[in-house]
Amino acid sequence: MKKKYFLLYLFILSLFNLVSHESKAQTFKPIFEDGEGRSSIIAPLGFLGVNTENSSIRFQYFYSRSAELNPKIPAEIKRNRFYWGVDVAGSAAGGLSNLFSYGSFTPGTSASLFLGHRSLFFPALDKQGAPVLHGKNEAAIEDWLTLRVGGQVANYTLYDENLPFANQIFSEKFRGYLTQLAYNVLIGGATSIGVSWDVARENNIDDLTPVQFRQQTVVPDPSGQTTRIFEREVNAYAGGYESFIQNTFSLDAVRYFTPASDINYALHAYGRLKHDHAQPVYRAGLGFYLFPQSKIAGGVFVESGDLTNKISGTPQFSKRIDMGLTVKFILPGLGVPSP
Amino acid sequence: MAKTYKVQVELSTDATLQLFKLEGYPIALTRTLDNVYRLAISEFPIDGELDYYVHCTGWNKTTWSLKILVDDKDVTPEPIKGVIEKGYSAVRGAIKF
Repeated sequence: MKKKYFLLYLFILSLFNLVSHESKAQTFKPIFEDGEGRSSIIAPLGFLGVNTENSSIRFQYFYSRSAELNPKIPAEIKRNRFYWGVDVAGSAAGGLSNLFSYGSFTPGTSASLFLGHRSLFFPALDKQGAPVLHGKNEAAIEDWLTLRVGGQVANYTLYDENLPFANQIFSEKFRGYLTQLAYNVLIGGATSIGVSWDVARENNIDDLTPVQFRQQTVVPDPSGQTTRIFEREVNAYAGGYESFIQNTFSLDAVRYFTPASDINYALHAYGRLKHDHAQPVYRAGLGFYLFPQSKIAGGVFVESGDLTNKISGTPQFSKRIDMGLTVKFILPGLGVPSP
Repeated sequence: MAKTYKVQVELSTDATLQLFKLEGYPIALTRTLDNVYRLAISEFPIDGELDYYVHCTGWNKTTWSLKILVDDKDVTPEPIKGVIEKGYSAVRGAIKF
């Protein structure tokens, strides 16, 4: 366990070292996710990120196009409000350290396609191209609606001690999918609210117990004088594996603080309502994130995966609290001075 | 009559570029893989100074940086920069070259 945390620490340190030589202005990163990597705040922005809670690496790209002259009405502009994007994530179900080391691990890959529409209820531009501002403070409000369709492929090694010895270790192929509809609004560049509904085929691999052992195969020499022993390390999960269809309603609220100092910070509160059991399960959390002068951002979040104790069987609330760490950084520019 | 030039534009930002204008004309820039909006025009008429207008929206303190090449010559050796406040940044200016 100590080795795992040491490797994690080394990885995070190397990420900081990788980008620390670039002293850049603060930039904002889309990192507002829960421990499962789920968020209703979909930032239409390219990034490369790591979520240590669910041991995933993620790459995302969004296509968008700024406004242009309206070919039909030359006095007006045509607001190009549609956008699309792709998101590819790889995860090591056995922990983040396995993602960066040799040995047997059980990788999973997911990919998503996004289709979206900006300025649904709050146009950023009027027809002549002037900014649309709101309130006495003359702040901008922008909103966007995103449809996400994705799939997931993962192979898990499972261990069941109740089965006959020869069948105790076996593989399980998981084929999941996700359809999500999310609406986001950003008020004055500082407050964002997101709501979403998604339906997904998921599994309970995060609830199973990781086990690790060595398996030996003994091959005797026909002459009986020599014995050859082959050994391999097996990482597996113990427990009752199952997959299920889950409906999730998500609500996220973010407040971004930009003091005069070099470091900005943000608070993120979120709630989830999951329908995958006989009773609905509530998940809630609170995150705190820092945005220093670099291309990297990170933070911690605490969450309860079963707020009202419907499925966990642990009456004590403090034992149903988890803590996570997330670190992400933006893709470096290609031949262009970064801001 | 205005002389025409080859113009290349690179606007680097994590924000959303809503509108970009050159010489008063709205010109659509497309975001590429590294969050840079790019465009190249082979024959663009410029009359005197090169007027530009940038309007971005997004999270506060997000910056944008504009780099323009005219006939392959960098006319913005120091990139033009802006920062988002109150959810937007709308900046107009002119470049001598």
